[in-house]
Amino acid sequence: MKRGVLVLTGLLLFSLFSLGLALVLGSGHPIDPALLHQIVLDLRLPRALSAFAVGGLLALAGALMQVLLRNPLGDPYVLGVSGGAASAALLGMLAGLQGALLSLGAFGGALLAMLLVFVLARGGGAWSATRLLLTGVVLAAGWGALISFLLAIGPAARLPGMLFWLMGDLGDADTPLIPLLTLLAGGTAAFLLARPLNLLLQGPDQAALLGVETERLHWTLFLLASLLTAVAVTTGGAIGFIGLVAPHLYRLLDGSDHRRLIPGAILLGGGLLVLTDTLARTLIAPRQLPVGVVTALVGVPLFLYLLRRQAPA
Amino acid sequence: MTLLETHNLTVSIGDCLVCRDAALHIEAGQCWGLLGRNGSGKTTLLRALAGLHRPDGGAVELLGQPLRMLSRRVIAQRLGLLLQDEALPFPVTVEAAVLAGRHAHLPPFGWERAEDRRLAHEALEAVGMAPFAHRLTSSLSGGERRRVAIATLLAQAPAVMLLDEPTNHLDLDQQIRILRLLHQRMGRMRALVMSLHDINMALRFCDRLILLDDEGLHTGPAAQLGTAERLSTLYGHPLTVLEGPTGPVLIPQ
Repeated sequence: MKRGVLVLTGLLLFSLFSLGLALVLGSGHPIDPALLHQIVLDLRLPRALSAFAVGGLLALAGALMQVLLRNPLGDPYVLGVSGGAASAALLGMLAGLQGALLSLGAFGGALLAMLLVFVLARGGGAWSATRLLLTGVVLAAGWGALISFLLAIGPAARLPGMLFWLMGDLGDADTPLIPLLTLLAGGTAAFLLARPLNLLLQGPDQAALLGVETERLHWTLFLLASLLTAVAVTTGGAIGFIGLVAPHLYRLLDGSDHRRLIPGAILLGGGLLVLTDTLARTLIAPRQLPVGVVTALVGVPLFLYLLRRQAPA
Repeated sequence: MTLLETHNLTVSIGDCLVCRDAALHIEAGQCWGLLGRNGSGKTTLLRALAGLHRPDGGAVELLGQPLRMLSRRVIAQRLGLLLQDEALPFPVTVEAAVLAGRHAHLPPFGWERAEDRRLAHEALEAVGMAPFAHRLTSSLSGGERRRVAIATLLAQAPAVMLLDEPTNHLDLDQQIRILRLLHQRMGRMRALVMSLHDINMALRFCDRLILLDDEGLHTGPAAQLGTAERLSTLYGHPLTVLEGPTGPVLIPQ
């Protein structure tokens, strides 16, 4: 317990530090202090907050999927949920949808993608690690192909905007309100479910025997994780690996009690994405990298490392 | 007092019929042994009694109420099932695993109270695993993990305790200790139903038997069903009776 408080305090400081860094770093020689003020408040702050919210959403969605699928490799990106949301959003864009309707489309796509993974990977009432990963990876490849197809037939003028869905980019994420509110609501809901989540780690049968309505919990987690992913993807595109890495790192620090893992993973995921986004916009300034490139560059080796650490099933 | 009852219970798994129209009547203070060959459906029957496996027909009644109508929470307050060993994909400490047994006794969004921690610790003491409280279950041996799972059931403290091969992975001394402990916790208010492979342990600790064979389910006092002749037929292997210090002992020929 003491260790948990220590770790959570540390992560809170880490998130605040990453936000502070995001406000300070950037193009350097302001002629006019008023202009600098404006840049920080109107450009950097909303973007940093968006990055934090998206990172938190992805980390939370990842944490929930890992319990739901009883697999440490559950993650919205790996399982193709991000891809499904992105494909739907692209289709929506081609059909001329905007704003809330577009988000709704992405939500539908995330739901559909997750449903597909669920139904196809389920065998004999359980999700086996191998079957799940293979299904997720194959579906993710399928979504990737669909996205490329849509990019190829889409009007060239729209191409840069569409590329955003492929890699993830926070360059246009200037309205942090919706993702922040979703994060707050989703985080609270997940925190209230922390005890049943802990029991679900011991398997659906054992959880049911100890008093959890597992079927209902499965559906709740499924809907919640899809909603969080959909909001994250519509804000920042298909950003990979945060959802995988953040809950994992927290488990390494302080175990898997969800009463601490939920807030911890959110802080870790949020802080990490703020840091990587700051890197993405300053690394080759004045040009910007899509943040998904940076998270993938960091995430791929980490993912491979975690795969190797897993005991052979 | 009747704790668990079945009416015309028909259970099957896949194409295999486990029992048809079975009637079980389990009272407080009774210890039942469930015997049968591999694949005879012992686990499936226990899962059906716990509401994890949907029966094809008939009903299970827990303390006079149909199991189907009860929430998992209410079932967990009254009935527990020790599952066969299963590897966990995430690390859990021994203490957390045992505290999980208290879930159904806590208010829905509350945290564990001092009383729950005390009960969990007491259960760990009882199975001799208290020094391991802060270890991860993944770092334990099979027998140690088994004792932690039994401690979880003791912390849950249901009136009906179903156990699927509780002595699995346990050494000889621990088998006796655990069965004695379960018997003692049963007292007059609870009932035990456990599947066992060691017929002598079953004869020593159980006063009643459930035999599962191709024809279904047979119940009765251990003195009646636990004969060499009956069990030889059940297992398809001849048994001889010897007189031992704790009563008659059956050995395979």
